[in-house]
Amino acid sequence: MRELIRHGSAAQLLLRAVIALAGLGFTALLTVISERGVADFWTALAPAALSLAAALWPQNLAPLGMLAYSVVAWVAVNDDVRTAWTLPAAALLLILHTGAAAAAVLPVAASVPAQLWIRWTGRAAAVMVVTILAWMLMRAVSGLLIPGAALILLAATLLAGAAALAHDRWARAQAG
Amino acid sequence: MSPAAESSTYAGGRWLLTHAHLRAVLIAALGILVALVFSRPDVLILVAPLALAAVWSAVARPAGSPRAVSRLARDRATEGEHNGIIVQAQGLQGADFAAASQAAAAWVQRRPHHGSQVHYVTEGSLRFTLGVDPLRWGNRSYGTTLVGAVGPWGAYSWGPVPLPGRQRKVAPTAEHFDTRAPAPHPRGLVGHHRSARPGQGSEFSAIRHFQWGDKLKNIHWPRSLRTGELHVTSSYADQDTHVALILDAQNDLGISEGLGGASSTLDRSVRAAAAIAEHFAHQGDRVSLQVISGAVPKRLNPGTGSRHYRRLLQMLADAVPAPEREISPEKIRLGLRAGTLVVIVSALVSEAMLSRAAALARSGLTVVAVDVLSGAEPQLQQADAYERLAWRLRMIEREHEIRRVGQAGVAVVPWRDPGTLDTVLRMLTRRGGAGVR
Repeated sequence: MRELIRHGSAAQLLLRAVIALAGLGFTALLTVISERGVADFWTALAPAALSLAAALWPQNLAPLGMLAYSVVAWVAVNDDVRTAWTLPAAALLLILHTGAAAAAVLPVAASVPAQLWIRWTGRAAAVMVVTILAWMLMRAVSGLLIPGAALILLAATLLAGAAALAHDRWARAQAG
Repeated sequence: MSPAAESSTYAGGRWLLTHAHLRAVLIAALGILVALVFSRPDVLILVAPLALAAVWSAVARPAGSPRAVSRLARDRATEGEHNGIIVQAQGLQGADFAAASQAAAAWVQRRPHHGSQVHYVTEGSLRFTLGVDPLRWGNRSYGTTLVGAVGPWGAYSWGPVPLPGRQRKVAPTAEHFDTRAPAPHPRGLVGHHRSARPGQGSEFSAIRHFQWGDKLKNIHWPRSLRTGELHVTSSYADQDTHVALILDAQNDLGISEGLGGASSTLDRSVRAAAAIAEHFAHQGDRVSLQVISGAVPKRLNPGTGSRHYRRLLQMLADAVPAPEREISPEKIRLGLRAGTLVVIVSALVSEAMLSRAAALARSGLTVVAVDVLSGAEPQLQQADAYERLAWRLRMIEREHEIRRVGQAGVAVVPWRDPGTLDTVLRMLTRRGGAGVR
């Protein structure tokens, strides 16, 4: 942490801020959905603390702890499986994970090339597009009581992800 | 094997899973499990991005065999010059970016100042140049370089692998020095300095009677016609001289911050010696060097020209401060013939050095001692009152010793500016006109 304060580049500080804001955003979402107020330990204070820990120590287990806690807390707090809040929650978790992955491997003091930001943002956007499609499918099938709906949804999501990956590879081959 | 290949270091390795990939897999598995057990499709949506990222990372994992080679851009550098470590990384197919970091090393300025660089990978190989500018002469270690690369989503990484640092000699930068005064007793065959003897040269001496062997082009026709006898114009011979540089590396007083910062006495000595050697070697004089040190005493035979000067700089870079253990009086004048100009560059705090200078002067040589401590005394802000008092007493004692050495025939001059030696060399030349001792 001392190294981050003394030598951290603007890019590294931005990444840490993104991690913290994503975690705090998810915390705010939990607070809104649970309607328990900002002083509640389980839905506000604990995830907020875990978010800050993930921002400060992205290279160790703090982000894993935050993500695992988020999934468990979501299951405990959210009663409406068809709620649209699932999408921003998923996006915030993806941002937190991606930011922590980048912050953990980039040298603290180094500046980051612009192409890297573009590539990683593009990938996250592609994944979110697939997630939105999966959510729309989930909305459609959840009312029909199809046996094995979750498995179908999983398969459909993976197929859409494979399509996004294939496009990314094709785009890289074109650029190369 | 080329010199560049000899100086390069190599590191290989393989792609390894990162915490980020394990995290994505674990969270996706947890979410899918919870979704299936509790019939919660919303949890599936919640972890879907992480599951997709995990699958994407596994499918698009980097395929190459990563390896890196590094070498120094310039094996021979001078303090204050730019140098760099060139890192060539290969086998990065499928990687997103590669990074390199240069460890900090004493008296080496990194470029960028934090020593880290990140580069976007477009092809399978990448070339970095990390700036490592030596700030001080001597044997410098350039520090270890760490290099690594990362795959998509930060899921696979290679390294950071260390590329061991190298140690190279850094030559001193000569301070600005110039002198227009001639050397006192030139004795060589051809050179820049006016000899005391008449001979082939460019400086007018006299008009005298023609002698057998005189060149016809030297006949002075106006005088010859006026007197009716042949007269010729004679000149002084131009000769070179032997400048014996003696560097006192027995003490290093003060703090060294590298070129452009505070200088220790050894810094000033080495740079002053380099400047004097450069001046005389480039004007055709023979320059020899003797480094007086208990650690690595060294001697360089007389020579001239640029190549000899470079050898001399390399030897100066080897100077390590250590007091001389013993002085054998019969070796003090080793290799110094009559007419040699001895230039001692020293802080003049070592009694042994002062005795050596006096002995050389008494033996009939022209000795100039360049005092590098005068006007650049070490900072004593952190010293207590007793230390300051001790320093003042030592300085008074030193002044007394310098006076005694001066009485023995050694010309002591402080090292100041380009014309440091002008006055003293002119005085010695005039004194030498009466006859070389």
